[in-house]
This record gives sequence, C-alpha cells and structure tokens, in this order.
Amino acid sequence: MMQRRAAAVTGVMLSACAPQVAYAVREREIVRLDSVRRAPAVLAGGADPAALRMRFELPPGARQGPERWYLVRLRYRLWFERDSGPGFAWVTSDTNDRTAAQIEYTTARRGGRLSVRRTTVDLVHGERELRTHSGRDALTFTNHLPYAGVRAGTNTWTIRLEQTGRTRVRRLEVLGDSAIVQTRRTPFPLALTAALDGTRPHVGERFEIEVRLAAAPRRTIRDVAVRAHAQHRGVELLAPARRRVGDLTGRSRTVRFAFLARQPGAHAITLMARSDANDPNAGVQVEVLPAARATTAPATTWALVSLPALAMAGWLAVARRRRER
Amino acid sequence: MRTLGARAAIALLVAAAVCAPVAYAATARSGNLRILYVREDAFHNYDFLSQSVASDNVDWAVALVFWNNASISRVKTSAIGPLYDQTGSRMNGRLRDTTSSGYVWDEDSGRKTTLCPGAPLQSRDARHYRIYADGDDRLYNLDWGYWVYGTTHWDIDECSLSNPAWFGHSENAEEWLVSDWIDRTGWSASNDWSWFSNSEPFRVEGDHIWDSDGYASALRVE
Repeated sequence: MMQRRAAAVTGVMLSACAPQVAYAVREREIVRLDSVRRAPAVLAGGADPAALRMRFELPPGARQGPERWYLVRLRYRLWFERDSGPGFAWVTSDTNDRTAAQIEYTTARRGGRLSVRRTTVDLVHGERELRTHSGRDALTFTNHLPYAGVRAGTNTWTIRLEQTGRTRVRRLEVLGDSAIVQTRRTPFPLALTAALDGTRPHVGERFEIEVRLAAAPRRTIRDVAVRAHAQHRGVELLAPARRRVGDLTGRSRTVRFAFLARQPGAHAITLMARSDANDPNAGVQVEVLPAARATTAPATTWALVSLPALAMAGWLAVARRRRER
Repeated sequence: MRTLGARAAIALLVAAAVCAPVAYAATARSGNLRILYVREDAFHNYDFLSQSVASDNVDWAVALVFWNNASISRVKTSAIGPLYDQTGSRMNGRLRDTTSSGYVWDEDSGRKTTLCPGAPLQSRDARHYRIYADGDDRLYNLDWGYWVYGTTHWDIDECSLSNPAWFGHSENAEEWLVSDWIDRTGWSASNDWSWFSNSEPFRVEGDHIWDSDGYASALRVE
C-alpha cells in the first residue's frame, strides 16, 4: 500500500517536478466506454454500490508521467428520486483500485424541496461546486489518474454509484465517450528544484540555496514568485523570504536565497513557488557542521600535546652531546 | 421505569449543559510544529484551538490519513459511523490543496464514541477523532488520491461532576481507530505508517496527557 511511502511525506518536501519535453497538446483515447460495452451504461442506486467494471491495456513501460499522462474523462447524467431525503451519493471512477474521480452529492429537503450540493476537485479544474434544486444533473469530469492507477499491461477501470442516508438516486447514465485518455499535457507545468550551492556550511558561515524554476515547453506561467522558509532556527534566512520572478516562458530561471548557519545539525529548508498554474515546492536538508574553529582545535591540541615530547627530545639531544664531550 | 429513564435523561442533559467545550491550550514539543508536504498539498502536523498557528495553541498531533477515496462525509458515514456516532467541540486544521490558491482553515468537531463521558448513564471515556480538509471536503494528489487528515485522543470524565476531566493518550486512541476501521469497514489500514515529525513523549500538561509516537496511520477508503 501507498508504495511511495518513503518518498511521499514527512516533512521531506516533494517537488512535483517533471522533466521538460517538447510536446504537442493533443489527447488520445486509450479506451472508450462505448468500445467495451453498450452505451449509455446504466446504474441504479441501491443499498449496495452499483458498479461497471472494464479492462484496458497499456503498452510496456506505461506509467503516469513525466512524459505521458493518463486521465479519466467521465460524462454522465444522473436523476434523483422525487422523494430523495438527506444524505450523500457518490459517483466514483477507479483504475487499478485507485480513485481518480469522486463526485460527491449532498442532498437535503428544504421547505419540502430537494436541495442538492455537488462538489468536485481535480487537477484540471480545481474545486468546483454546484447548488441546485433540480432532481437531475449532467457532468463532464476530467482528472489525472494517481500514479498507482496506471501500469503496463492489463488495467482495471471501475465506475461506481453509492448512496447513504436517505439519498435516493434513481438512475445514472454513463455516456459512451467516457474514456481513459492519454495526453502530453502535464498537470505540473511549473517545475521547481532546489539544492545547496557549494559545500556543507559550518556554524557562523553564510551559504546559499539555489532554486531553479522552469516552465513546461510552450507554456507561459505567469506571476511566479518563490518563497523560502527555514523550519528550524538552526539556519537563518538573510535575504527577503519572498522573491518575485514574474512570467516564465521556455527558459528556466534561477533564484538564490542566502542563509546563515547558526546551529550544527540537519536543518530542513522549504522552497515554495506560487503561480497562476501549479504551486510546486521542494525541500532541502542542510547539514550544518560545528564551527570552523572547532576543526582547527585538533592542530592546536596536537601542538600542545607534543610540547613535552619535543622538550624531552631536546633534553635527550643536549644530554647526549654533553656525554660525547 | 419511565421516571427513572426521564431522570437519567435530565441528568444527562444537565451534565452535557455544564460540560462546556474544553479549551485549554497545550504546547507542542519544541521544534515539532511544522508544515508537511505531499506533492503540492500541505498541512500543519497539529490541529489548533483557534485559527492561529502557534506551538502554544495546539490541541493534538496529526496521526491519521484517510486516503484513496476519502472525503469528510465518506469517512464519517463509513461503517465506523455507528460506533463514533457523537460529536465534540470544534478544533481547527490548517492546510493547502494542490488546486487552491492558499492556506485555509477548516473547523471540525469530529466524531466520538460517547456524547458526554462521565455523565450519568454514560461511559467514563470516549474515543474522539477530528478530520480536516478544505471547502470541498477532501484534497487530491497523485500519491494519495482523495484524502483527508486528522487527530485522535481519549476524552475521560469530560462531563463528570465528581472526577477531574482529562484528555489524551492519542497513541492508544489511534490504535483503537485503526482496529475499528479494519474490523468494521473491511478496508485496509496501516498503523504508524509514516513519520509526521510530531512525537510527544508521555507527559501531563494541565488536562492534556500527551503520548504520541510521531507516526501517523494510513486508513484506506474504498
């Protein structure tokens, strides 16, 4: 489960950066619903979830990003029963048991009228909300599949209808052009990478974090700004925390943040970008070494320790010379 | 019998009425409070008494991630719903969704196993969880799918007129929730799945009894 565990979380910041490749913005349908079953496919609400299960094939080496991206496109019509009461209904789509579409309906009755709130969130449109008193709905929903929802060979695709409480869905019609789609259009057009510039600093030394921002080919990313934040007092930001970069097209841009190393140890620094597209982040772990004078201490120590030995050697040499006389 | 039932009900109501929401701030261990990132989503690793980010304004350490097909409603109406069927006082989570333009606060009163622990005819204890997401009640990223996060703890003698109230032992409450999740939903869960940088060794701070190992559990929603 959650195979990307080590990489995914934990204060260790992840950039959602994708290597940049030239591409044409076009889509290709991998599988359409009406190519594998009769359309529209109909599901009815009930105590148990109702589901459509299909399979599709992907070529060897297929995976989600960074060059080819897979999306689900879900088109449907839905009708509630006239006497539907308060509760919830969900239309979901999974590939390989990983959910990429979750449309949530919250129903209630106000003054005897059905009240419906529909919410969605996806990487294409962000959050969307609809409030209506209508007992029917129609939606086209598109979203990028999770990484684990894409694999080479045979993939499963499940579309499900569920309801709880007193919500009653009479009918869900999934339209024939619902599909799994391949595109070269990345969900992360702005990429951010960050690294320590130079060697590990000692306490009291100044060091810099180099941040590289790049826009996907043929994309203009506007209003780009980047911010640095030290999660611990062991390092102190010397320059303004926020830098405005402006618009990015094609070429990458580099921004540097200067810090002062204050305490030895490993310190996390977070770099966050804002833009009119996506807002990537990255983390850099900087290991601060003890103060530079500490590293010269051994030389001094050796000198002090060797003084008696030198004195002894000198005394022996003098004594020997006297004996030889 | 009816009189006894009525008296008990009144006693419970009175106890519930005097049982004001507890609002003692606790202090996160030095250096613990931080923002965690997964892809472009971000969240603070504690929840807060009020909508102010400060290490001396925290309630509990984040220890739960519901993932894959989660939303606030899907978790609360899942098969653990009948067990965690009461609500508590509101706390605050701060987060940022990949698709949103900035950080937002979310309030949640959560779900607990007893309405007013320690009140007449009520159990002395309750297990209590709170979960957070933004305006559409879930976040989405390519690693965790649809997800929400939360905290959990015990409420002991919260409404008792004779015993002092105390709250905490989050690690134990987390283990119970994971166990309840697997037993009741039939979905998978992984106890202490990932390091969330919020370890709180056992200690008593006012009515807060800290005990949290810093690892959050992952509970899959299907």
